[in-house]
Formats: sequence, C-alpha cells, structure tokens
Amino acid sequence: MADPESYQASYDLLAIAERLERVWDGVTAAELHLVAYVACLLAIYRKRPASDWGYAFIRSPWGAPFSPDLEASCNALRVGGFLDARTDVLTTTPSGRDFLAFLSGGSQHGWRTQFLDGACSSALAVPAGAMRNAVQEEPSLRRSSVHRQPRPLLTAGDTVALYEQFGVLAEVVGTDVSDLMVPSVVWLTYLSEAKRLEEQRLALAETGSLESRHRVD
Amino acid sequence: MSEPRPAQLGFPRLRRVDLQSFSLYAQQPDVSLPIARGVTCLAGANGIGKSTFLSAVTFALTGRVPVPHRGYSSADEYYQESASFSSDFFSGRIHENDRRSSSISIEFELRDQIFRITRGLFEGNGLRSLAIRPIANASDAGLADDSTLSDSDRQRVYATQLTQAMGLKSFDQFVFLQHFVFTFDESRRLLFWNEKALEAALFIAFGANPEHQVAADNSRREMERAESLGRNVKWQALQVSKRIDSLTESTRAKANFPELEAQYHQLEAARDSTAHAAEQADAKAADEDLALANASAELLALRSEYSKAFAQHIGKRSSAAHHPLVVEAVTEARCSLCGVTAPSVRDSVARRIASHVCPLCETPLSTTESADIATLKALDEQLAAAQKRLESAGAARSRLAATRDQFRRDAQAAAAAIRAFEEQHAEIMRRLQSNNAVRPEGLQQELERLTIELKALTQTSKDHYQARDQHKAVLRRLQDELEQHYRAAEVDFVPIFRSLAERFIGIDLDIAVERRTTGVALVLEFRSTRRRELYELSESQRFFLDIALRMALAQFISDRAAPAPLYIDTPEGSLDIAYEARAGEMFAQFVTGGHDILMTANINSSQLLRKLAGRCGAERMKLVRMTEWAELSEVQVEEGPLFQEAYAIIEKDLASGGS
Repeated sequence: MADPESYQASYDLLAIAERLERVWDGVTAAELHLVAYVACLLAIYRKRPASDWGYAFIRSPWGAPFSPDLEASCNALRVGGFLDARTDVLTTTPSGRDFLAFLSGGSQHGWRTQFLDGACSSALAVPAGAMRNAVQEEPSLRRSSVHRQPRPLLTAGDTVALYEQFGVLAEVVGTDVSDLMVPSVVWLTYLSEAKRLEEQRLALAETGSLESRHRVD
Repeated sequence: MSEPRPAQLGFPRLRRVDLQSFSLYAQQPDVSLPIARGVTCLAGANGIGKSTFLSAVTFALTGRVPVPHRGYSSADEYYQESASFSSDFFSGRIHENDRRSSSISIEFELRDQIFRITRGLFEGNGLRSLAIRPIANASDAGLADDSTLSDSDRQRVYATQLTQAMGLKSFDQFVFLQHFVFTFDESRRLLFWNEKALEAALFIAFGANPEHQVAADNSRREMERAESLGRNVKWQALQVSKRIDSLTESTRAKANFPELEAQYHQLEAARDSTAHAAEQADAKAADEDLALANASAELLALRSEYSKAFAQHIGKRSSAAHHPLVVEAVTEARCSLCGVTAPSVRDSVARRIASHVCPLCETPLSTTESADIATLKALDEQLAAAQKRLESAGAARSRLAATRDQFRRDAQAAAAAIRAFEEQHAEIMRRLQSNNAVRPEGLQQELERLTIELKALTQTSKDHYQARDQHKAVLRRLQDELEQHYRAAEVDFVPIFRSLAERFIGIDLDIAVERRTTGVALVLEFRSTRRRELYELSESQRFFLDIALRMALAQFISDRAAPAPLYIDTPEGSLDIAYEARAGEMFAQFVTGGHDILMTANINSSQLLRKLAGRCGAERMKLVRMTEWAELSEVQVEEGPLFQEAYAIIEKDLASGGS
C-alpha cells in the first residue's frame, strides 16, 4: 500500500521535476520514477542501505521501476497545486517551487540532494531511452524480469550483486569523486554496452546456428 | 559330535485381517481381507498406505511395529524398547476421533489351533479380544476367551499360548523373528550385514534348542555390562591416581605454601576487580542503550508528526495566488475558463486575491498556510536536534561497548588465570576451599586413604574384566556349539539357500559360516570370492539375496504343518526387467514349497509381479486392489486408467498362469 504521506517521495518529485524542467519542457511520470530509482541506486553506491531511502520500488507487469509512494505523492501534489499536469508532462507550480525551496533549507532532505543531483545530471547527459534500457540491466531489475508477478526491487538479496558491480565501478572512477554524475554515467554506459554486446553475441550465435542448419540441409 | 537338528518350529499362517475405523483408508476404513494360501499381494499407488498395512499386521501379531534403523542387542531389550515407538506409530495415520474405535483383528492358524485376536491400534501391550480353538472345531463355542480377563492378561495368555504352540522359548523371540527375519519392510534392514541379529537368528534356526539363543543374548549382555563397568571403574581409578599425583605435588609444595596462598589471593583480587569493572561497564552500556532507544523513539515520533504536517500542507489547496490559472490570468491577462484576454481580467483577479477571496467563487480564502509552514519548520528544527542526540547516543554507546568488551576480556583472563592456578595446585585448593586453611600434616593421611582407594578400584576393575571374560567364555562355547550345529546342518540348509538365491542371481554362489571376534556370521561367496562388505554388492543384489536368506531360514526351521510366511514390502526396487523376472521366480519357488507371502507392491506392470502371477496362477496368488481403499492424489486420479491397465495385465497373467 502506497503511503501518500511519504514526504521523501514528495520532496524527490518536486526536486526532480524542478531540476529537469530547467532543460526540458517538463517530465513524464515514467521519467520521474526512473530518475528517482537511479538516485536511490546512487545512495546505495554511497553505502546507504536501500531501506533508508524512505520509499520502495517494485517491478510490475506494467512498467519498472515503479514506486507506489511516488505515484501517490504525485497525485497529492497535483491535487494540492504543487505540480501542474495539464498535459502528460509534469511541471512545478510556483507553490511547488516555493515549497521545494522551503524543504531544501530544512534538515530532513539535504542528504538526498547529492543523489538527486547525480541522477538528474545523468538524465540530462544520457538519452532517456538509453537510460531506461541501461537501468533494466541493473542486477535487481534484471533478476526480477523473469517473474510475471510484481516483485520488490533492491531487496537485501539483490544488493549483494549490486555491491559487486559498484565495487568495480569505484575502482574505475575512484572513490574520491564528489559529483555522483561521473560514476552514474560510467555505470549506465557500462550497462548499456553490456546489453549491446550480449545482443550481438546472441545474434551471432543465431546466425551461426542458421548457417550450420543450412549446411546440414 | 554335534547334537541332532533341533525340533522344527511352527508359525502363524494368516487366514483373515480386519481393520476397523482405519481412517488412513478413507474410502474403506473398515477393511475385511481374507488371506488365501500362497501369495497375497496388495498392489497400490504411491503413498496410499501399503507399508502401513504390513506394519499393522505385524503390530497385531506382536504388539510392536518394527522400529526403523534400530540395531539389535537382545530380544527382550528390543521388545521393551520398541514399545514407545509402536504406541505412537499410528498417530497421524488414524484420525484423532478414531483413536479409541480403531483396531485390527486377525485370524491365523498355528499347527492344530486357530487364534483370533483384536488389538486397539494404540494398545501394544493388551488385547481387546482373544479366542483360541482347535482347528477341528467348526465353531467358536467354548473358546478360551474370557471377558473377565483384562486386556493385558489376554496379552499374557496369548503370548504364552503362541510361544508354546510355536515351540519357542519366549514371546520376545517370536517378536524378534517376525521383525528381523520374516519381515522385509521399507526400512530395508538387512540380516546378512547385521551381525548380532544374524547370530540370534542362527541360534534359533541351528542351535540345539531356542534356549541357547536366550542364553547367548544374556551372556552377551552380561559380557557387555561387565566390560562397561570395568571401563568405568578403570576410569575412576585413573582419576584417583591423578589425584594422588596432585597430592604428591602439593606435599612437595607445602614448603612454599604462604607464597602460593598470597599468589592465589592476588589472582582473586584481580578477578574480583575486573569482574566489578565489567559489571559497571555493563550497567553504563545498558544505560546508554536506553538513551539510544529513547532518542530513536523520539526521532520516530517527530518524523511521524513531520509526515502528518507535511501531508496536511500538501493536502490543502495551495495559495490561490500561486494557482496556475490565477498565475496565467495575472501574467498574461487571459482567462483560461472563458478564453477572454483583456487587462480587466488581470485587474479583476488581482483585486480579489488581494482581498483574500477566491477569484472564481468569492469564498474567503484560508490564511492558515503560513501556520502549516511554521509547524513544519519547527518540527524540522526539532528533528535536526533529535538526530544529533541520536548520533551522540550512538557514538557513546559504541565507545562504552568497546570499553565493556575490554573489561569482559580482562575478567575472562583473570578467571582463566585462577582456573589454571587451581588446576596446578588442586590439592591446596581443595583444602583452601574446605577449611579455609591448609593443614599440611593432613596431606599424608589423605595420600594414604587415596592409595587404598586406588588399590580397591584396581581390584574391582579386574573383577569386572574377569566377569566379562567368564561371560565371553560362555558365549564362545555357545558360539562354538552353534558353529558345529550349523556345519552339521549345512548339507540341508545350503542347497535351500543356493537354490533360491541362484534362481534370482543366476550365477554360482555359496554361503559359508565364518567365526569372527564378534561371533558367528554367514558370508556370501561369488566365484570363490567372499563378499563381506555391503559395498561389494549392488543395492538390489543385497536386497534380494537377503530375502533369499530369510526364505531359506523360513524353509529350514519350519514344521511343514505350520510353515513360516514372509512379509515383504514393495520389493521391486531398482531391478532391471531381467532381474525382476528372476525375483518373481524366486518368490514363486518359495510359495511352491508351501509357504505364504503377504506382500505389497507398487502397481505397475513390473516383471516381478507378472512372473509371480504367471507361475502361481489364481490358485496360489491373490491380487488386492489397494487403490480402492484410500483417496488418491490428483495426479493418480488423472492417470487412473494406467492403474486399471496394469491391474488388468497382472490379473490376465493370474488367470492364465499356474499349473
């Protein structure tokens, strides 16, 4: 059951929408969920447990990653006039921006800023489709893709594989990088490239088997 | 010169089995099954209670259910110790409501008598009814059953009458034979490789009389008991000897006793002070745990309040002045509702906003928004402070935990130092603790007392070992005699075994008696090589050669008028079709010799059942469709026609088979 009072989800929505609308005309709901998920992954990269993030994500048959809390908060913010959704893209209203400024000055959300900044910068640096495809290759989403029923993401079992990848990533980009955009983009590019190579390998294998079948025929 | 072959024994031959309220068989809880001569094969699907049926019959006969994987020590011990397993065996198989009404009745003939007994399924030590009559009498009139007898009295009468009619020494022996020799159940307990059980069976089969088996059991038990006592006393003697050594050491140390005492007191002081420090650190850490828990709870409560205030704020309509429609009207002088663009639109909307009324419906606007924000701000500050307190409590807790752990280690080290000292100076410690003062003059007296005790213990140990050797000698004599008797009977027994076993295995094999340190055993020989170990034969070879041995023993010891039946649970195992057919041949040969088999089998068209059916025919084999007794699983119901097909094949073999 989604928690419409999840203030972390509300803050993240306002923060992501406000950052992305500076460059784009607005942000779709699916993009919001995706960027928030990347921000959560970056928090895990910085050794914060997924349970600290404040709201959870699932893989559902209708799309992934998806957070019921984000969805509920999005509705509440729209009804309250903090987000405008007269078209299929969301933008912050002046009330939303005022409220975001107020929250950003408080003590409860500051720690998330670096992760939200990292995720939003990545979203602006990597094409949206490529980012979505790359995130589908992250271990938790990839493992859950075999199931037909909704599955929670970033559970304790998933994060072991994630930490392995993040260990390698930290070795590549160094551990003293303050801007999380760097490891984020490197990682998303790696996932995207790994997927491309896998598809290439499968295509070659398929071609090989077709050729050998022809030879037999 | 060996004695003549012992008198042959009679065995119960079942005529009927009746189950009452046997709820495992949901479709037919009241089963009535006549048992014909020859083979009665209960064929059914997996998991419907085939093994339980055989266990129930064995329970009816003996009051005990075979205990899986239980070793054999002696017949009377087995009978006593299997009671608790048997008393609970049917729990879970019989519904709770049927516990009292459920029972099994069996009727069997034994030489010239017919026994009819009924036993409650949870009453291994009693009989609900008992009737014994001569076969010649057509009716039960004037039977031995006496309603004035208690259930346990009936059991006693039954045991006495049965034992006497069989020619055994005790009812325990019958239970042993029934469980270990004539029942091959699902636990696959093998006689060939169970030395004690095999020897007991050989004593009954080849000994001068059944009493020798009891005598051998007793001698073995007494021998093992004396051995165990001897070992215990020897251990006690060793402890006394160590104490003497320690005392001797103490006597030498008495000169520097004051120094040792001071050293001990120092160690005690160190132990006490470190223990005290560890206790204090524990208490402080516990206080800090509480502070941490309190800070956590405070943070949780504040977060909850913050969350409520947050929801309250975003749940309200935001400031009308910031509403997108109003913003559009004021900045672009355009009304989104009617589409008019004119300066009057801006002026009208701005005026109403300034008057704190809704530009659309003119309702006065709430001015509480700033109050919500103020609440959120206040809560935010409280949260920040609470977070700091939590962090501080966490840091303090970690520091105190480290200190506490160090004190604990110190306390453990101090306690270990005391223990080491006490072990090194055991005698002085004993005196310190008992009298709080050492009287070195008493050490010599104690030393003398212990020396006497050691001497006595050494003697007692010797006595026990001597007694062990005496019992061993008696057992040896009995075993020598058994070996002689076996060798004398080999000429009759070996061909019986070989004929059955070769029928199955199809190659030359032999069986020989072997004396081992543990006793008399039988060993198999294939192509002049002895196969003593389990791993030297395949699993299915082991099973069927073991069944062949049981059959041979049954044939050898039975009175022809009351031949021993075999009770075999799902024997087909993992044989290939060729060996299945051979096993069927072996079973048929046993039955042709006048013996009965009560067996269960998974229903399939295995060659074992088909060959057996073909050889016995309907005259000497009866197939019972057990699938009609119990509820089948969904898979079994779906594939029901396969069962019918398999039954039909075997029934066809029965119809066309036999003489």
